[in-house]
Amino acid sequence: MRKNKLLIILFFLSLNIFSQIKIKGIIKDVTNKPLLGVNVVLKKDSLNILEYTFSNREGDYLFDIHHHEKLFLEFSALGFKKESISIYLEKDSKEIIKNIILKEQSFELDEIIVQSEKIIKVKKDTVEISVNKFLTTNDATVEDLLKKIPGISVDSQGTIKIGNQEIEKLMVDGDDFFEKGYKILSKNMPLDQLKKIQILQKYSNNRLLKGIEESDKIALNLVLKDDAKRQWFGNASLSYDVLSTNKYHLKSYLMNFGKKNKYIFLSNFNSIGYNATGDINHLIKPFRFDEPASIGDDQQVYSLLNLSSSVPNFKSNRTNFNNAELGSLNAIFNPTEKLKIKALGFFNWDETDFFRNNIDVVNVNSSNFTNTENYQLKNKKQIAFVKLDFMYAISKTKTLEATTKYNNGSFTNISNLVFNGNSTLENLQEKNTLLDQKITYTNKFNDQKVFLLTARFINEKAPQNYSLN
Amino acid sequence: MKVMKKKMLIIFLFTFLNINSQEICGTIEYEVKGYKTIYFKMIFNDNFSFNTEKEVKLSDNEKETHKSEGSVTNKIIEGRRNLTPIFLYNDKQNFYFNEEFIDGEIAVVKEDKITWKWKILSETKKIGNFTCQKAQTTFRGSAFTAWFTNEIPVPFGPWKAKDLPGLILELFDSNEIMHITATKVTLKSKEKCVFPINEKTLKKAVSIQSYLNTQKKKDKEYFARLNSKLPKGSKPFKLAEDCEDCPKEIKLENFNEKK
Repeated sequence: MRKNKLLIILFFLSLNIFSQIKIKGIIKDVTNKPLLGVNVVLKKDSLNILEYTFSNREGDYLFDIHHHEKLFLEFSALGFKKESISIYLEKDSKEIIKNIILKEQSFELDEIIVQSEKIIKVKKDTVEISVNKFLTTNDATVEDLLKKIPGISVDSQGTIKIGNQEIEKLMVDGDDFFEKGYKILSKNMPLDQLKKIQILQKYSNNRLLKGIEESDKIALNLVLKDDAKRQWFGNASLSYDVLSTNKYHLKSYLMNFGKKNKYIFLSNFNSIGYNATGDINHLIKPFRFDEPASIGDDQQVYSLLNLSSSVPNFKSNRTNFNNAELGSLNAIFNPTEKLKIKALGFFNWDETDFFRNNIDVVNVNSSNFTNTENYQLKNKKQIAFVKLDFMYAISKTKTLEATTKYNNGSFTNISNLVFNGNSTLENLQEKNTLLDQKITYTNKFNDQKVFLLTARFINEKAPQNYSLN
Repeated sequence: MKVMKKKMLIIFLFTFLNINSQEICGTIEYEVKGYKTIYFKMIFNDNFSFNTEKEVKLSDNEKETHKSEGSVTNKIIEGRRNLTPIFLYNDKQNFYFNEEFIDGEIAVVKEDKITWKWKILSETKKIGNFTCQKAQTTFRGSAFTAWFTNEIPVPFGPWKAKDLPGLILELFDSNEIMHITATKVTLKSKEKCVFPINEKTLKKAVSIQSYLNTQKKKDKEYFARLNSKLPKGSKPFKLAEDCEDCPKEIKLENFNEKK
């Protein structure tokens, strides 16, 4: 009887031990020498490591595991070819022996710079930010992204500030379109081709002046992915007043950025008093304050005559009855690494009307009189503007920049004033042609010395005619 | 008989060649961000790793003062007094490192035989070109996370970290007292690693326990010397571990901790 009981207990125990399975083996090289310190990894699948061990001096390895159906054994050692064998554990197996012979394999790595994922890199005056760490699916434009980067703030107007300082410009792959008018870009450009953002401190417009010019300017540069596909993106908005006055506003941006060429089309048609040229004024006359060796920026033919009306105290767009049409094309080409061509053209057609009716009734003592004034002013404006920039990097220390601008404007102003029944007709016709050529040569001798040579030719004609009736 | 001899010779030559061609030597550079950022360079083959500081600079003492209600805590960080670079040497059997005492003396310490028991997670990420897998463990009271790559199958890593089935490229503790990242990796085959380690210095190595005892003794001596210079009537400085109300410092290594 006693014997029987014992047997049963033993049986149970042995069942328990049963579920533990030993996996072991000897690892040797081709010459039958046991290998010490080989990594042996027991895996469920390619990612899930169950257990790992190292072989001992005799080349032995051993795992004690619970039951699993299918497993992989992976053997790896420096200088040997990685081996992997799959093992299948039967339910009743206690021990599995897998011996293996590893073959030598030379393994060489040239110096690999790892720099494990740093989101923000600081190099001298450049801060580089990898974009994808900040991206979420909700982000649509560059502005959304910039808001999330510590140190950069974007206010409700779209002004981008780094610390407390507004950025000088927002570039795409080092190419600049808008200078201070970067908001068009930051509010519209999508993010999916973007790789990183660079904050360029102590920025100089002329790259050779970097470090020489005393500058506290900051610029942002959006670096596109190396394999960035060209992609059209843009924004169009149309508003139309259906009620009475046929007022409308159509605005569109269309941009295409590739690694080599970049295009931007802007158009604006409106009759709501919006001054569309304001958007592109900085493109025509870039205002660069304190730019070294810049000459002739203040040269201008002043017009002597001007027909304008005194405007009542309303917002300017409420008294500006216009019909403006504006189209602009910007392009940047980089045919070779050294040459960059920027082209800009725009055409603006505008018609503004202004009416004023005045009735003054004056009562002084017993005498009184009434003045009636009926004033009409009609402006017609046509401007065509072309600008071409060539930038040629002769060598690392020499650059040649040439800028050609051509502007052709014609303005017609007609005013009609009927004062107490007497009519005065004024008629002014203006024509303006401007040819502006500027060549800048920069040669950097050393870290402190740079030679800048600027030549500029400006030919501006502004004839005015005036007739009074 | 003569024929036999010839055969033997040929076989011998072959094995010799085989051993030679197996030689691979790697270097990895680490950036160790802690109280200060220091740079380490580690050379390793399949049997050893030798990790040492790249540039050694002397530094002055630094003083930090924290004022809170009613009490002022002065924290003095002792500057570096000597130019002996820190090294950590792992030959798979033993682990040696050197440490500077408060008076500038250097001790070579033989680490206790500890295997780091890692829990390997299925998370992966790319560090450089290497696919790395995440692993976690606790060591002397701190929780560590490591990213290692099986593409370089050696059980070595920065600082004292080891025993993973691949080279550790990133290591940090949960309190971010230390964050180590690899910056450069090179592997060369058919090149013997030269470990600039003197067998004599390793023989002189003391155990962790005796190192800790000496450290405590030297710290006490230092405080005694500090206190002897204090003006009369002022309260003596106390070692943080000897005072009850001192703020507990979070340490990377707590030697009392069993795990």
